[in-house]
Amino acid sequence: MTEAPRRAGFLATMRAVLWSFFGVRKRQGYIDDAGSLDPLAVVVAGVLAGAIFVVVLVLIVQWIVGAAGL
Amino acid sequence: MAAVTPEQLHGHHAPSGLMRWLTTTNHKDIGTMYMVFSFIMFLSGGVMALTIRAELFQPGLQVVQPEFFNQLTTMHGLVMVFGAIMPAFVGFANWMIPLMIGASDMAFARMNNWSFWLLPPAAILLIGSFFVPGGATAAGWTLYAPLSVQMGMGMDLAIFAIHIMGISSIMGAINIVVTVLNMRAPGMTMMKMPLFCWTWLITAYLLIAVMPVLAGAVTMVLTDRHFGTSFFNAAGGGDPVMYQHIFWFFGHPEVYIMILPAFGIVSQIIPTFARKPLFGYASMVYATASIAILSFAVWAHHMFATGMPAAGQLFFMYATMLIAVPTGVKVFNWVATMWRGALSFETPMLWAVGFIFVFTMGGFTGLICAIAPIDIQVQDTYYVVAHFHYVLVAGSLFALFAGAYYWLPKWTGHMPSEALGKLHFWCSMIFFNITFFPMHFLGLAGMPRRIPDYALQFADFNAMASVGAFGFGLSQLIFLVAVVKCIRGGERAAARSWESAEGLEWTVPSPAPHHTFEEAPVIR
Repeated sequence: MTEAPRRAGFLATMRAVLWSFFGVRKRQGYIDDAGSLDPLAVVVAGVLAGAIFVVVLVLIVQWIVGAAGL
Repeated sequence: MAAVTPEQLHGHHAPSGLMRWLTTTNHKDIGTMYMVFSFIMFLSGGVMALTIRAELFQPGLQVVQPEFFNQLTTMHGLVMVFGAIMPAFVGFANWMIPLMIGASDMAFARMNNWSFWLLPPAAILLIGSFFVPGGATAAGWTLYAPLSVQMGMGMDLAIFAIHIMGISSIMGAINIVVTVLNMRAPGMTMMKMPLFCWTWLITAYLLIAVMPVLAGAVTMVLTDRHFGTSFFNAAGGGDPVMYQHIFWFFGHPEVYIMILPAFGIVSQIIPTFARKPLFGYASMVYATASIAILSFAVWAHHMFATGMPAAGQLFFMYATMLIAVPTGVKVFNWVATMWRGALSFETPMLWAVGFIFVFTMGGFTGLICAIAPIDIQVQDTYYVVAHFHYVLVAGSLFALFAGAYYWLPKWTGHMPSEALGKLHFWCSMIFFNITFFPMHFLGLAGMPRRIPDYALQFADFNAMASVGAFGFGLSQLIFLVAVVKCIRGGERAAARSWESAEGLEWTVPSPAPHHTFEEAPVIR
């Protein structure tokens, strides 16, 4: 009982945030998240993932626009 | 909804009468005031809507002049968004969040009082603007420049009203964030919180992020009008399209501010009447967060017709369509919660199921509007009017009614009348669809919005919509009767007023005493 909860690493936090973008999470994954995620890290990862989402979308759009010769 | 009588205040040396309400710092009193205020504003905005529909009953001009018609469409939007829907949800948050997380009150009780009492002056400014020279603002609820730069003094009153209501919203949001993060009872971890608290926490962050953006936009309009700036005036080097970008950077998250708490309310009600825990609680939390983040990256889908490079159109089109994924997750979770549940259809459940049905239709038309080439066709037509009323009336408002019937026993100590509640539901549901479904056809046929007259071929569907609108408007009086009846008496409500209701709010007596959880409960 005295064991301190394990802190989630960068990759685990990013994985939880990326699942959140889809909006679905496995029960075991959620239980692990609830025990180990640092809320501040989740906010940072959320903003980072948001930026990555925008950049990826921009790249896809650039590729489509380039391919269509618009 | 005065759940607490002055006798119960005995021993607290609290003022009575009007001073009780003016000086109260009690979250239940303030919640009640928010809800009464929002209902008054709902009726005011409703009267404006009915005047609009009376004018549109037939082609030609019969009831109001075009200038006044434009004021009505503008003020209907402003009053409903800022006066009715948003304060109603804040009222729910005030009443229920402390009860749900086991807190004795909101974190900043005096600021809470101020948050509410800023609203009536703002409402007086807004409604009073009808009576100033030139009348109320007629720039549309979006207050687009250059129209908003050219309006009379009614526009200035609207700008000040928006400033004041924005301050109120920001303070309310800060209060909710701090309450949820700091005042949970021992053992009430974040992931044990009722979903309503989660959706409001995320909504509060959205409010804090975007209300200053709106304040900035309308302040720039104000300085353009009176202080010689040219933010939105092309003649002075400004750009009216920039106003649209700034407004919608606020405006799209605002849509989610008005729907996320509704998701929370429905997520409380469906498990109770399906007698099953909410399916995919964690998914719901994740989906809500996801919707909130994505809501900042889609604003220009409101502006496809304004002119934008193809790359910009594609970006906002794809980003908007991706929001359907987490929203779909929510709808599937509600359906899965009901799947093989022991369902019963008391009034709150009827409203919640009705919400899922009609809100999903509004969501789908949203997807259609998200497709840039289609949007350019339907922009500024009744198709868009139909879409956002399916989301805001059938979404936000129906969820508010669901929540009101669900928690009325806790607020008043009496069960609401099932007969009246069901009559209210069926009348609203039927008349809502009679009003707004034909608008899809009108929009696809090209009828523009915000115009008091129309071509003859639109006459039949408009007549139908107007009949439906009056039916819908009058149906809301049933709600008023049901609530007044519930306050005055009726079947006594037990602490756990609904058989399978779960949560801390059902552990306190009905009506909830003036002070609850003075000693924090311990959650296992």
